[in-house]
Amino acid sequence: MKARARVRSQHGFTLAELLVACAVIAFVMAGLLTMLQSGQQSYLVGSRQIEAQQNLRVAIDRMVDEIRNAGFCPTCETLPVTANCPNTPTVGNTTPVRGFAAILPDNTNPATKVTIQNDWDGSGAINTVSTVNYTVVGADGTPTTTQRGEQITYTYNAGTGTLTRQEVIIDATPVTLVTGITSLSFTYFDVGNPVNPNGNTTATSQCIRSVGISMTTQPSVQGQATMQGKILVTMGDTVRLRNRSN
Amino acid sequence: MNRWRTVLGNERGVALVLALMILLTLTGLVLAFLSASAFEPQISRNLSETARARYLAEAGLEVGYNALIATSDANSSWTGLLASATTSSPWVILSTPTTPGPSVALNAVSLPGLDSASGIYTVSVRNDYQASDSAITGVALGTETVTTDANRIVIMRATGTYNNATKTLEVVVKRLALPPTPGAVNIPGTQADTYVNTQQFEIDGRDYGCSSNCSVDASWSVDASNPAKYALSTNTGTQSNVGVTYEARVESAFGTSGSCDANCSTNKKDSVRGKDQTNPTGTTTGLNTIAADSALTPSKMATFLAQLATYPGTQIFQSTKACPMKLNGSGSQPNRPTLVNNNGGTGGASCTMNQTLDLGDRDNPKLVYFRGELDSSSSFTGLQVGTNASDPSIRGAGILVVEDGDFKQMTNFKWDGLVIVTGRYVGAGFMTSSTTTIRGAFLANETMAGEANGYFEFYLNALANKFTVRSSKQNLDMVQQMRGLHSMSSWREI
Repeated sequence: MKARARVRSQHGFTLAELLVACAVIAFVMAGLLTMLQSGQQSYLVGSRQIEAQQNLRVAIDRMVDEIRNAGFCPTCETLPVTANCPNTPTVGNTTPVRGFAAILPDNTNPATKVTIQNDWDGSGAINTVSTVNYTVVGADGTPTTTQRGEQITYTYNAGTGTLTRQEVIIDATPVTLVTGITSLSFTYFDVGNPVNPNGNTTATSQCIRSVGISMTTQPSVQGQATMQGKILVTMGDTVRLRNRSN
Repeated sequence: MNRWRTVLGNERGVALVLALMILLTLTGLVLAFLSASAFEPQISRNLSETARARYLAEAGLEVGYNALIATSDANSSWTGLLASATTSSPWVILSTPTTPGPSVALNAVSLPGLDSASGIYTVSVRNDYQASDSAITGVALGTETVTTDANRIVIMRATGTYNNATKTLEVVVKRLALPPTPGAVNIPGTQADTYVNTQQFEIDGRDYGCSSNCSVDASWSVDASNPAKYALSTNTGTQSNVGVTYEARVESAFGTSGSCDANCSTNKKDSVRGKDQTNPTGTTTGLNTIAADSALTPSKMATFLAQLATYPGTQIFQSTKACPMKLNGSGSQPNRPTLVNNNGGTGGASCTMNQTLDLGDRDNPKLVYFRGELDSSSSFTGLQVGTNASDPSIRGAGILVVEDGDFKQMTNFKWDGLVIVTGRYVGAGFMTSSTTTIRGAFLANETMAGEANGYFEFYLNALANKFTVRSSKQNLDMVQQMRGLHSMSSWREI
């Protein structure tokens, strides 16, 4: 009886009731929005972090793979001695190094530009004017030949934040590997100590046995400039040159 | 109508609907976020798996390298390994050596102490018989075939697999073959001036072997199953500055002269023993076991030494006239003497080298290479061993090379393997009160023709306590299988 009376009632909500309801809903929605916004923010931070890390990985992995292989020199035993390099620190002697340098740091910007040299065709010299044959013999004895360049140059441009790779002759212009790099530096080591090739002759380059890379990137869209929103990822690696380990 | 009104007017349950909607939205957001973050571990997993696969392949290369070093046939080649290779399947799976054994085929094997869940590797080799192989070996294609290794170069490949990641690495493995040594003492150079002023020596071309406790001299005995060599062998032909054959030049040291009477000469001749040049299957003492032999020529020595010096991993100690080098025995460890370079040179206080040098032992033979400098007065000692008989003894194993400088032995010195003195204006002197034992072969190789008389290539002092050289195939084989005579180069990831 009472319920019927209420249903039949033609009275609406009072203004006060409506305002209270609106205020409550607004309050709830505002809370929800804040939650959503912070969720969205976290998501963006995470995805930007991933993007930056992924960029770094690709770049470092690529460089490390090629630096590890640097100095491929089938005829080095027969080439003339080009430098006498430090041996293990306790021996206090030198090891003669023959042929070309595996790693050629840029004379003026050794920390940001490096050239990797491989004598893929076993000619005893680095060919910078044409591509050379690179042959791999398969399990069935069939050789597969591709064309390779004997110099690969990695350059970091601080102005544009890009890292480029150029394989001589194969790439007419430098190919951008990653963007958004805020800092990149190469360091060089002989058998145990850092080598500073800045302004030095190639004799120093001959002695390089390992290369260290340290690189910092940011995502293509950087978040707010607050501590929470800004993403900077730094990674480093040191790689020993497998073809120059003696 | 009333019913509809009832339904529309009833607000009960709206909380559930709202809650569900909000939950759905949030779940959607969380899922999207999770899927993105799940992507990240996958990427890093790929990366770490690839790195592990590469490390497995690198481990495979090392195991394979050891297997190749331990494998050798009569020509010091790897032909024996390649028997099953065909042009359509040139790669042969390597096996670990039977000693210490057991031999394991390196096909999908796991690392020692780990199971296959930690990854597996496979190692195989092929001969460098393809036309394109010179680009990776650096050596022109010779008479190589898929099954015949004539140049002692093979290509080794190791594949590491971890979960879904696979990496394959390839290297070229080379072996440097020892030159043939036709005698226990070999004087193959362009001069063969020999001075023997003692009766306290033994040069024996018969083959000596040892089955156990080989650091003790008494454990070594004649092994008749291996052919004997000459006691002394020389270059064939005539020594230009004196106009006599190299053989006669050496033999003249065993005659009578000065205070050495007929009895003394006989004693000296009786101290050399080995293959009989008039009856090559038998052995004899005396001048018939001093013979010229064309197996070892100056050019063969030159080729070997040039390759040895340029070999990756060969470390050369530079002895100079300013700072000549000397080994001082260390007492407790005869094979770890001290190397100094202040042996009376003109450099004085600037010659500060003072380091322990590992001369190796039969389990771990070493290549120890000293290089001097040209001294046309023939008086420069590139390496002196000890000072006198009361010094702690020095011993080593492997190959000892002294180039472009005299080798002067003055203490108790024992070497298992090869001792080579080579270069211009050089000689090997075994001095007052020295006691020397070499099991393997000794080579004194003068490369400068016309060095003045009186500067001997091989010199046994009157007061040398005892000088013993015994030929030993066992020790020469040990030297041939030294790591130092092998190299792994042209590393590439394919």
